[in-house]
Parts: sequence; structure tokens; C-alpha cells
Amino acid sequence: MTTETERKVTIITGNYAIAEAMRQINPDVAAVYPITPQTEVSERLATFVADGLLDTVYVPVESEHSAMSACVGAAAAGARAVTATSSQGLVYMQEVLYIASGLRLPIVMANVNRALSAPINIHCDHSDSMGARDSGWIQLYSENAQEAYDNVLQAVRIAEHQDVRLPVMVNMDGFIISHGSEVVELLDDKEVTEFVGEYKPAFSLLDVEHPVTIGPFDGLHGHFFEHKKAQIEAMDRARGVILDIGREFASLSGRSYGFFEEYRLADAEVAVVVLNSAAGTGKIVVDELREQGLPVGLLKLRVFRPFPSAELADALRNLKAIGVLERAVSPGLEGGPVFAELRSALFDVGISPKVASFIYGLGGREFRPEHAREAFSSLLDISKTSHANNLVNYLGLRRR
Amino acid sequence: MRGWKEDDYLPGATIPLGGTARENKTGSWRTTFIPYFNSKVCQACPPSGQGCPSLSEDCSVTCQRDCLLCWISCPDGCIVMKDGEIQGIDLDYCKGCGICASVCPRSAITMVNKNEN
Repeated sequence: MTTETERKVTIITGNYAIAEAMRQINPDVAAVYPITPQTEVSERLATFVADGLLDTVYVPVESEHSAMSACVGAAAAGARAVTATSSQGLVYMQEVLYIASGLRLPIVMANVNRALSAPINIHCDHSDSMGARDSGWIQLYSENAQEAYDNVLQAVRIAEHQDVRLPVMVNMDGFIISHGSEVVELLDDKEVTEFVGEYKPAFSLLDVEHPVTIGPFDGLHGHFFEHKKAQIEAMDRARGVILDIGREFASLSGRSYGFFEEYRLADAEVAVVVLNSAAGTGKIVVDELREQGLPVGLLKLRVFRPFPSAELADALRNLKAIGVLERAVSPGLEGGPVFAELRSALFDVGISPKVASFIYGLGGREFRPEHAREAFSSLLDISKTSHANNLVNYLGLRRR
Repeated sequence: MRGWKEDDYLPGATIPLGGTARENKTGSWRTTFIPYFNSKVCQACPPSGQGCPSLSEDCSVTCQRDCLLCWISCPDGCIVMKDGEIQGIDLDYCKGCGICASVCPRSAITMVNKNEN
């Protein structure tokens, strides 16, 4: 006989939604350093701790490098550890990200996507998390506050799964979602406690009955290469685990999560692939263009690491043209990271759709419906020709 | 890959034992210089005050006997100390850096070139 649950439908910002998820998780340790636009996550969490609502040991560290280092130490000691950051903060902890994943510690971090300096810019783009794509962290992306909340809860289960044991980064757009108020359904505290369960660490530095050495030197005659292979295998197993946890979460919450969301894609001839909040704008334009009889669709990628190559190729194989809406660049690489990885995934698909890159929204440049219309218009033209004239396009760039 | 199985290695290269550093005798890294500890120089001033290089009226304040600076300074914890007295140097782990010799106020430790000996 289960007790009645009290779910709450409320109006809340993305930051507060993430803080709520963390409150309900009641982690053992939260080591956080503030940075715009994440600060409210750490402030809110600190308030919960100060108000005696949590068992969490809150460690107000002096930098993001220390935040992740403290999380690594805590996780190695067998504690459930969380943190949050953005932009420069994520890059400041960069070396420790690799350590967290190399040590196979299931740390959960909320990353509020913000542009990387220079020039200094506090607004949204995906350069921060894209820069961490080789760090061995699982990366989830969230269209809105509800998804951010749901992703943080699932992140704990994915990270701690015995077949995975890798840290998970939940991304959400800075300011657009972090500071925007939206309707969010919060699960009941007891439901979350039951869903995330108890953390059962593989090893613990605090277990003096079974002492362990964590993070030993593995030199020239050691097995570093084999350990990296093991990490790769764990990341591969994460694919199945992410889907399993998504299904379990769906039966709990009624909201489904997989690798991506397909929006009016089945009978589309052209589509855009997009991450995070721009998907919302994209979907509205898809509806608008469909009213005009245009065969357009959208694919919103949720899981970027591990990159669901086979599933994406399968979902996109029948399209004539695909536009990758990209909110990060890698100067010297045509298009951006998602474009490059998607094209690689489609390389072996029998019939190759034409793929073009549409860079948008860097430094928070607003992504408006007219930009989405521009992208679809280009794609419809591309679908009629034998090739794309411009492989890389820019939406919303000011002309001189 | 010759017969590699993921189970062969514990995730994250974790070693399910404590104190394993002791098995790695870093003394094998030592090349040219070995520290030589002269206890007579270190512990000069037996109760009668014989042999102290810096005997003075302020002995109770300035005494360098068993100052333990080498013990504190050794980066590898190779100075063997028991009951507040330096016993010697653990050559299993000593890398021959010479910090002990340079901090000793009485030069009770000297770095000896093993090739010349």
C-alpha cells in the first residue's frame, strides 16, 4: 500500500527546478562554486541546507576546480556527490572532469550552458559543454525546465548503475531556461527518494575494513590503455541503461525520455537537428510550415554522449536534407561538433541525406522563429538540388 | 587485443588493497648519491656535553641535537625516527635528493657519490 503522493505543478525557473531535483535527491555532498547563470542552483541548495531540510554536507569551495575535486574525493569516499557550474567554471574544472570519469565516479553535475570567453559573455551557447565532449562524461541536454528537472533525477540512476559508473552532466540553456519561469510538475519527495534509491558505491575510502587505493599511478608498463578501453565499454553500456532508466521514469512520471525526440519527423522531407531550448522555437515553426503544406520536421537530441549514431542514422535516413542547428563552433572545423559527429554517423547509411550546418545563437544571440524559417527555407532548396551550396550557414549574424 | 577481458581490471584502476605504495621500492630510482648519516654528529652532547659542535650557555634553547629537520623535510618519509631520535635512512625508498643533507644544521648527513666510493 503506497502512501498518497503529492506532486506539485508549479511555476519555477530552470535553476530552481534543478535545485528542487537536488533537494529531493538529498545528496551526501554538494561542493559548489557560484557562476552566472548557475548561481541560483548553488544558492538555493545552500538555503535548503541552512534551513535544515537536507542531510547534505555543503562545501562552499573556492573555485570550480576545487568543486569538482571535492566531489571526486567525496565520491571516492562512497558519498553521493553533486555540483553545478557553467562556462568558465566548467573549463576551470576541466582536468578534474577526466579524473572523475577515469576513476569511474558517478558524480552528477548540472551545467547551465553559457558561452566561453573571450570576449566575456554570460549568455547562452553550448561551447562549454561541447568543449568537454571528450572528457568521458555522459551528456544530457534539456529543452526546458521540466526536462532539466527530469534529467537530473535520471542522471543519478544512470551514473550509479553498476554497468555504467560514469559521471553525468545535465545541460540546460543559460538565462533562457535557467532564469525563465515555466510550468513544471515536481514529483513527490517520496517518489524521488524511491526512484533514486540508495547509492551503493563499488569502493569507499572510508571503509577501513576493506582498504582500497584509488587513483594509483599506472605507468608505462601498466594498463592505462586497457582502463580507457574499459571506460569506452562502460559508455557503450550506458546507451542501454539510459533507455532503461528512461522507460522506468516514463512509467513513474508519464513523461518519456530516450536518446532524442522526433517531432513530425516520420513523413518529413527536410528536418533540423537541434539541442536544448531552440527546439521549442523550432517546433513552433515546424507547425507553422506544416500548415502551409511543407514537409518539415525536427529532431531534438537529448543524449550527446554517448552519441547515438545508429539510432540517429535510422531516424534520419529517409530525409532529403538535414540542417544541424549548432550553438557551438570549433574554429577550423567546418560547422560545429554536432554537425561533424552527425555526418560521421550518416556516412555509412545507404542513401545519404544532404547535411548542412546552421550556426546560431553564439553568446546568447537570440534564436527567433524567422531564423528557423530561414533554415527550413535553405533546406527545402537544398533538397531540390544535388548538393548544398553552403555547407555552413550562420543564422542571426549581423551583416556589416 | 590478446585476450583482454574487462573483468581483468577493476574499474578506475582501483586497487582493492591499502598500503600498496610500500611494494614499490622507489629507492631503485636513486642514481649517483646516497645519504650517509653520522649519528655521532647528530646526537653530539651526551649528558656530559662532550663533542657538541655548538656548545654554549643557551643550550636549552639552541640545541640542534635531534632537531628532526631532516625527518620533516624528507619528501619520501625515509628518515627513520624512533622515540625522537634519528635512527638512519631507509634506502628502500630514498631517491637521493639530498634535501636532508642540505637542511641539517650540523651536516650530520652527507651525500656520498657511490661511484667514487
